[in-house]
Amino acid sequence: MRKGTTVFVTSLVLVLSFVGLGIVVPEQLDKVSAALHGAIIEHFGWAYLLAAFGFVVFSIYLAFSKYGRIKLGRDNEKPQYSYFSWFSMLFAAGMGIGLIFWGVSEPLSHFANPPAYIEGGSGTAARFAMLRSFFHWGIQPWAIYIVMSLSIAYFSFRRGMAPLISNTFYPLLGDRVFGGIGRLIDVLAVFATVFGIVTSLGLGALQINGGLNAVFGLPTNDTMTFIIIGVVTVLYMISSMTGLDTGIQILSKTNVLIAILLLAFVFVVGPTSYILNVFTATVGEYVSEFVNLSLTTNPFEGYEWTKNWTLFYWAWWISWSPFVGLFVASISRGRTIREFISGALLVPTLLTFLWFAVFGATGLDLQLNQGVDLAASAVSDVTTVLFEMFSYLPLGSVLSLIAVLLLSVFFVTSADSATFVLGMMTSNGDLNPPMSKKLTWGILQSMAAVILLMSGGLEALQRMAIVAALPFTVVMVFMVFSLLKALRYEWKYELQGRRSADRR
Amino acid sequence: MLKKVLIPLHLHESKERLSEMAEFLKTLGTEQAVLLHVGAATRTAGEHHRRRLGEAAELLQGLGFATETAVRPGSVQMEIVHAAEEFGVQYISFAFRRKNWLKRAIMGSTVKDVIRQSDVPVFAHKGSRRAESDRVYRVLYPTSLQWKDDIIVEYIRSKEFQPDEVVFLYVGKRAPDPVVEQQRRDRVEEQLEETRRQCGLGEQESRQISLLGSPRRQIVRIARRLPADVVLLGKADSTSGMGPVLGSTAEEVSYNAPCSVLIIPRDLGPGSPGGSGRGLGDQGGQA
Repeated sequence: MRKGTTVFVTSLVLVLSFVGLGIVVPEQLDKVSAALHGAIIEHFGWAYLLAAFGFVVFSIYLAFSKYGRIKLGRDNEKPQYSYFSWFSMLFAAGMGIGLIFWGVSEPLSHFANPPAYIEGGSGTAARFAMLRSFFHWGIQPWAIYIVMSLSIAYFSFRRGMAPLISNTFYPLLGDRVFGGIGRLIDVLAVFATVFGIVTSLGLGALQINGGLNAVFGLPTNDTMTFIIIGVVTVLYMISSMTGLDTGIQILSKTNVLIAILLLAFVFVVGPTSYILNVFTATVGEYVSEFVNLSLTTNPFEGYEWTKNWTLFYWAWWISWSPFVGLFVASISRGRTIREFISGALLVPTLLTFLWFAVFGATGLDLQLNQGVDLAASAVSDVTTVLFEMFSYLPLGSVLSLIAVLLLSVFFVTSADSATFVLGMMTSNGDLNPPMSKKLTWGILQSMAAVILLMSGGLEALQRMAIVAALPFTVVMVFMVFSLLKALRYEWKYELQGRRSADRR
Repeated sequence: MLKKVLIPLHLHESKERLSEMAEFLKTLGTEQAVLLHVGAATRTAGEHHRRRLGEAAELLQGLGFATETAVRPGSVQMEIVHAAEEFGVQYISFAFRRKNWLKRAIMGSTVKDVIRQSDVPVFAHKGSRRAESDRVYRVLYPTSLQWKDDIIVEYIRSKEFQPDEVVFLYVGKRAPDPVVEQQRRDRVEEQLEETRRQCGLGEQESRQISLLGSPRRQIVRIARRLPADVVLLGKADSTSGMGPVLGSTAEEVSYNAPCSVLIIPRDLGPGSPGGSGRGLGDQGGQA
């Protein structure tokens, strides 16, 4: 059987089996996933922290090293997409929907429920909340994505191999990447991607429902959520049919423009000086405490909190990385390694910081200075707190409507990119995956989201995605060595030879 | 070619061990030996050492060597390197004695230190099986194919050496993609073939092996598997990466190989055989 077919069939059977378990025995799946997830976070949390920090160091090293000049493509190749298109698609795939979901609710949630050694609702808690929100959405997630996407882009566009995660291990495994071990890596990647996107779709649909309730008073119930998923599925399937160059690109650019406008509006009508104060102070703290934040697991006090938030996020970013990595790789052809890393590390991080500063600080201002108890809402229902905050701002209903639109389009771009990536992964890295595979994955992920929302197995599936992150962390560590090995080889045996020949 | 040798002795060597090594050195064409002991400078110890060195010199004279002796106080490896220069020897030969890992970790290894510091070839003799007439005398020559192999080729072609079989070994790194990897393999085959031709060896008397991985591990593994009688290894003076911490390939192979090892510096000093600074292949590139 061809590699693409094997990966497609195996992962399809695996995914259907797990979804089936989520329908038939949701409680047992919940128990098993909770036990696995709990054990992994409890015992291997430190490994996530170390690995993520290592990826940051590796990314910075590569950007500044001699390898930074190597192009992700042929030497004379030019970038496929403009900077704006590239950043828009990066942002839409990497953060998008999550940022809107958590932009207000995460700082407020940390503010209300910080670790035990900080008094909840205090000034210290507010400082902690902003710093941790910056940290969870800052450089580390992008460094994780960079490792994955850079490896895929290098081995596919520079070395002419198919854009598959397994192929990035050629320097370590040789021809074995075309055999069983390569298939295993690709199946694991499909597994993590499907489960990640299904949970993201389910949670995203819940938030859109919350927004529609806030704006139009529509009921928040299962039927509405299913209708939302149905509509979004039709939209992303249409976008997916039009391909990467039109559908995803246009949607991502439109969405980032709307997001920037929304950000600018809230910045102007919100507590502007307060936002700037919070932004400056938090960036300062983030920079000065970066190493400490990156490596502290709080083993003596507050470990529970670290487990529930930081370690959860790190595992989540890693489980999300095959999808984002493949997608980002596919849009980064023609850029140098230095350009790729600095762009992917700094621009989305800066935009994320601005987002959290504007939305988080506005929420905290309402909480601390205006007497509005948003934090209680953030704790009780994270899906509606953004819309509640908008109700205290001028043109609140319009803002909520824009947020719902943003959520829906990010929802569509995420699902669309995931469909494209899954199609690519299961058709031996074909950059134009067959329509049949895109349809299969597109319909499967929406159906799984609906069914698991109904049966209550969505959280179990999210935990399974995080369980898949542990082997993937090991895979990514080896990926770093494999990429370094390849770059060293190219520099030593190919580029230096070419340079001396040019000199002669 | 290897006419004059410096033999550092700690004076605990048995007569059998010493004569076995001397017999082997004769097969390399060696005629003169300088016996050196580096030890305490007290008068009684000095006399004792001189007497023991005299006995060793007599043994070598009996085997046809012209000998000189010297006793020096001071740092063992430094004195060996200085004496090699002072007496104008063409190589240094040790009757190799393996230390256990703890002793080695604490005390270090003189052979490895001398290999690092010496500008002349160093031979670590680990017992000879050449006397057994019914078996193949096999030389393993690991080459990096990056430097001119002229000096080692000269050793292999010399009439004294006369191996029954020379195994050319290349340990390289896998290329980043299958197309370039195939090109690399083809190129290695061609270059090994070219080196074999330079040595004037036919297909009956030689073999070519190309492997991937760590040179220091693969050389020792292949030397054990063949089995080889002597490993001929070039040494480069450049240090890179973890070289200063882990030691060079030459140092590691000299210590871990199951057979005798002749380490030849890539940049031989003036007065040495072929000492024009021509390159030899160092498997690993750091020393």
